[in-house]
Parts: sequence; structure tokens; C-alpha cells
Amino acid sequence: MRTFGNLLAFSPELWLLAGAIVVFVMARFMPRASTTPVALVGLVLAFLALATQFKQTITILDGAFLLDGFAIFAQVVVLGAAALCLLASRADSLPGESPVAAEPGFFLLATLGAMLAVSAGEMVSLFLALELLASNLYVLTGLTRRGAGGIGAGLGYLVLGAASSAILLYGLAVIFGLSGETRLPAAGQALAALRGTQPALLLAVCLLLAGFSVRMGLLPVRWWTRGFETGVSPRVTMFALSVGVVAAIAVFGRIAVSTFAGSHVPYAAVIAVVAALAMSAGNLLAITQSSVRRLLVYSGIAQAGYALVAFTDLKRAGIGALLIFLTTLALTSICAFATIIAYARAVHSDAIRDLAAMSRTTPGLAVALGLAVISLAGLPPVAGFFGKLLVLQAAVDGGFAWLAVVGALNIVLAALGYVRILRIVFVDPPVFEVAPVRLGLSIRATVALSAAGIVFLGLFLGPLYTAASYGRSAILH
Amino acid sequence: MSAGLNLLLVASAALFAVGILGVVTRRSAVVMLLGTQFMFIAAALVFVAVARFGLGAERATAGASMALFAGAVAAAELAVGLAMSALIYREHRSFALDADRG
Repeated sequence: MRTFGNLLAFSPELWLLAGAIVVFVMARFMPRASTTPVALVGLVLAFLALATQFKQTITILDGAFLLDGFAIFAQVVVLGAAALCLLASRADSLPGESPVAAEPGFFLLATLGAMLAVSAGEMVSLFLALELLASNLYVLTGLTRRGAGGIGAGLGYLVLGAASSAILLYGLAVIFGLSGETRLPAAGQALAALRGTQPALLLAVCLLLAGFSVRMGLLPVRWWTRGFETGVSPRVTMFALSVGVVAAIAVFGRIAVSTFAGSHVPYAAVIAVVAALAMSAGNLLAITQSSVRRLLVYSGIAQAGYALVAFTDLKRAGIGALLIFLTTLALTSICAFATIIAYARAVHSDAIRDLAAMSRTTPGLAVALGLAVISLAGLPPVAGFFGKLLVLQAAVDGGFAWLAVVGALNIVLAALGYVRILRIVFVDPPVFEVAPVRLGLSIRATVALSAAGIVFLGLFLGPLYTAASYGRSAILH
Repeated sequence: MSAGLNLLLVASAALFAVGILGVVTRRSAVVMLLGTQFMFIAAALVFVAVARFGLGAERATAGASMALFAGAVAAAELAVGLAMSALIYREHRSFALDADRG
């Protein structure tokens, strides 16, 4: 009972909850009203409340939640990504589709789950927060389904997600069995005291990695359910690939640092092999795709692989590099998906060849898509380059130079593959006549903000680097 | 390591295997959901067993509460999943996820 006094530290989460409740009440009594602005106000209030907690370390409910620099950095990224997703979501309804008024409420609850998850310092709270995020994503896939296969895609996602949650829970159970602790730092101390090699602990690492693989984007859902990209609207895929992935990787980072990083099992070698496989397979699959959305999903495998590279140097620079990489990853995914959503208002096609002459009809979107693709590949001078550079640097420092070589080769491979897209967008003659289209203010703002963010982080990495080192030192001590 | 703990861990592993088998091999959405419930229960069983017989005895309430919350979470996911299964049944007159599986 001694730490009940600082429940006010939950104020950002409480604002999100309040926003969600207002949205649900409005959806019940005023189904015609637009609820997205309300949700955005909730996000802004949550951010302001979070801003009052910068540079503090607060322990809530006897260690169930640790609001340290790491958590606050990840929460800022999550809030920003959620705000951009909500801004873009209004433009993503086909003619004839009536928007569901309650939908922004589920986005807010999912964001709430992500915020709680990145600050959770204990197994029960961590699992509950991750499930809050996941359950709302399942509801969103069901709400925004398209066509006859939509509900099947949503249900396939749910079954896969539930199975991966159970595997994750089993991994946590093995750690609990070995350490007798549910608080992550205490469990880490107990694991560090274990003598000799512990096959059971290695099993726990593998179970956790498998449990997080779907959430991190390592295993694309479409291998399970055909038509996942077409059955679920892109705004939900965008949210899952930005907010969901950032939260999952950050949580896995915290579990790794707090529990098994201090033990004697060769966890880094296991993760390095998975990372090398994910980077190479993801890029090879991505550059052979003919559909833009599928390309982005497969590229997500490669990005998750790069994020795992940072785990080879957890004790030193890895966490800082991971935080910076997650920021650039969220911005890049949002920029790519927002341009796809915006361009879909002019051309109802998902094929890469139908992007031809995009630079003539919608030059702004073409530039934004170009920036996103360059950043996804990891070429200078945009944000994605520095994210990947720092991660590969961490691999070298951690003694995994071969992994850094694999990563660098993958940047070259991705660059060669993505040049095709740039050529189609900027050089190729148009396939058909594209009528000029007027885009709404919110989707234009999303594209402009995320593209500006990619360029800005490429030019001025300094402030982000300082914040990330602060987050790293907070979690290591 | 007591005999009770070993017995419970073996039982839990068996439950987990049955659950994975159900999810991977069956096509019916309801049976797949049932498989995920088996997996959740198997993991919860490890928490309870460790809290009762193993190292977790000092924090037995933590293990028990984890099992409780895991059950609640599993039920919440089942609720969403069954609602979606009902929608699928209305569209296709069958619970099979077959048509959407690649």
C-alpha cells in the first residue's frame, strides 16, 4: 500500500481512457457525429500530461509499472504514432462505406494498452497491457473489414494473436519458475545468480521470441490468413505496424534487459541468427512483390530483424540504438501507409505498376513515398539510415561483426530492389489517365508531418540521440 | 523439485501441445479458439504449480493472480473470437476458416 499515493502518475493513461469513454458515449447517442477530433483531443491531453513527467522516475503500485526514461521515450513515440494514424484514418473510407463512430475509441484503448505495456515492470501488468492492445486490434480488424473475406482475415489474426499470447505467457511462466519472481528486475537478479548453462532459460528466451514474433511483425499474418491486406483496411494495418510493433519491440527490449541479459545463456547468439534470417528473408520477399501493401508488410519483417540486431549489445549501446530505430521505423511506416491511403482516393489499386507517373498527378505524395522507401531501405540522408547505422554499430560493439555485415548487405539489397519503385513513381509513363483528386486536410497533414519527420531526423539526430541515451541509462541502472 | 511439481509441469506441457495441435491442424474457427484456450490454461497451470511447489512459494499470490488474470484475458479474447465466428457462420453457413487460408 505504500505507493498508492502516486497513482496520479497514470494521468496520461487516464486522459486516453476518458477520451475513449467520451467517444463511446457519443457513438451511442450521436451516431452521426464525427468522433475523431474528440479522440485527437484525448491524445493531445495525454501528451501534455506526459510532458509534466519528463525526466522523472516514478514507481507505481509497488513496481507494477516503472515510469522511467525508457518508458517515457517509448510512450512519446507511441502517442505520436497513434495521433498520426488517427489523422490519416478519416481519409481511409471508400465511397459507400459508412464510418463506425465508435472506431476512434478502440484506437484510443489500443494506444492505452501500448502506453501501459511499455511502462510495465511486472509480469501481470505487462501481460494485461499487451492483451489490452491486442484485443482492441482484433476488434478494429473486425470493425473495418472489407469484402466477404474481411471477417475471416480478422478471425485468423485473432487466433494467431491469441496463440502467440499464450506462447508468450508460457515463456513468462518459465522465467517465473526459474526465478520465483514476477517483478522483472527482481527476476533478473535471481536469473543472474543461477549457475551454469540453463537450458530452461534458453527455452524461455525462445518462447518469448516466438510469442512476440507476430506482434513485432516477424511473422506476417498473411501467411496464416489469405487476404489479410485486402480484408482489413490499411488504417488498421498502419496502426498495427507502427504503434503495435513499436510497443511490442520496446516491451521485448525491457524484458530482455531486465531478465535474461544478466544471465549466462547465449541469448544474443540466438537472437542474432533470427535477426539475420529475418533481415535477409524480409528483404528478398519484399523486392519480389507486386503489391504495395504486401511489400510494406514483408519489409516489416526486415525492419523487425534490424530491431533484433540491437539486442546483441543490450548491456551498452543497444537500447539507445533500439529506441532511435523504433522512432524512425514508426515515422517511416506511417509515411508509407499514409501515402498509400491518400493515393487510393485517386487510383483504386494496390499494384506497384499502377503507381506509374504518380509524380505527375500528385507530386507531393510521390515525394513522400520516395522518402519513405529510401528510409525503409536505409539509405542516407534520411531517418532510416541513422536508425539502421546505430543498430549495426551496436552489433559490432557487441561482438557480432558478421551480423553487421549481413545488415549492411541487406541495405544494399533493399536499395537495389526499391530503385524499381522509385523509377515507376518518378520516370515511367502513366498506365492510364488519373483524374486529379482533392485530398482532405487531415491526410495531407499526416503525409507532410511524417515526411518532414523523416527528413528532420536525417538532418538533426542530436536531440533524439540525447533523449535515447537518457532512456538507455534509465533502464540500465 | 518435488514429484507434484514435475507431474504438473508434464501435464501443462501436454495441454500446451494439445492446444497447438488444435490450432495448427483444425480448420474450424471454434476448435482453433478452443486450442488457444488450452494453451492459455497450460501456461496458467505452470504459474500455479510453481507458486505452490516451486521457487515461487514466497510470492504465491503473484503466481495465483497471474493465473486468474490469464483466465480473464483468455475469456475476453474468446468473446471477441466467438462474435467473429458467429459473423463468419452467418456469411458462409460454416465455421471453417478454410476459404481465407493461404
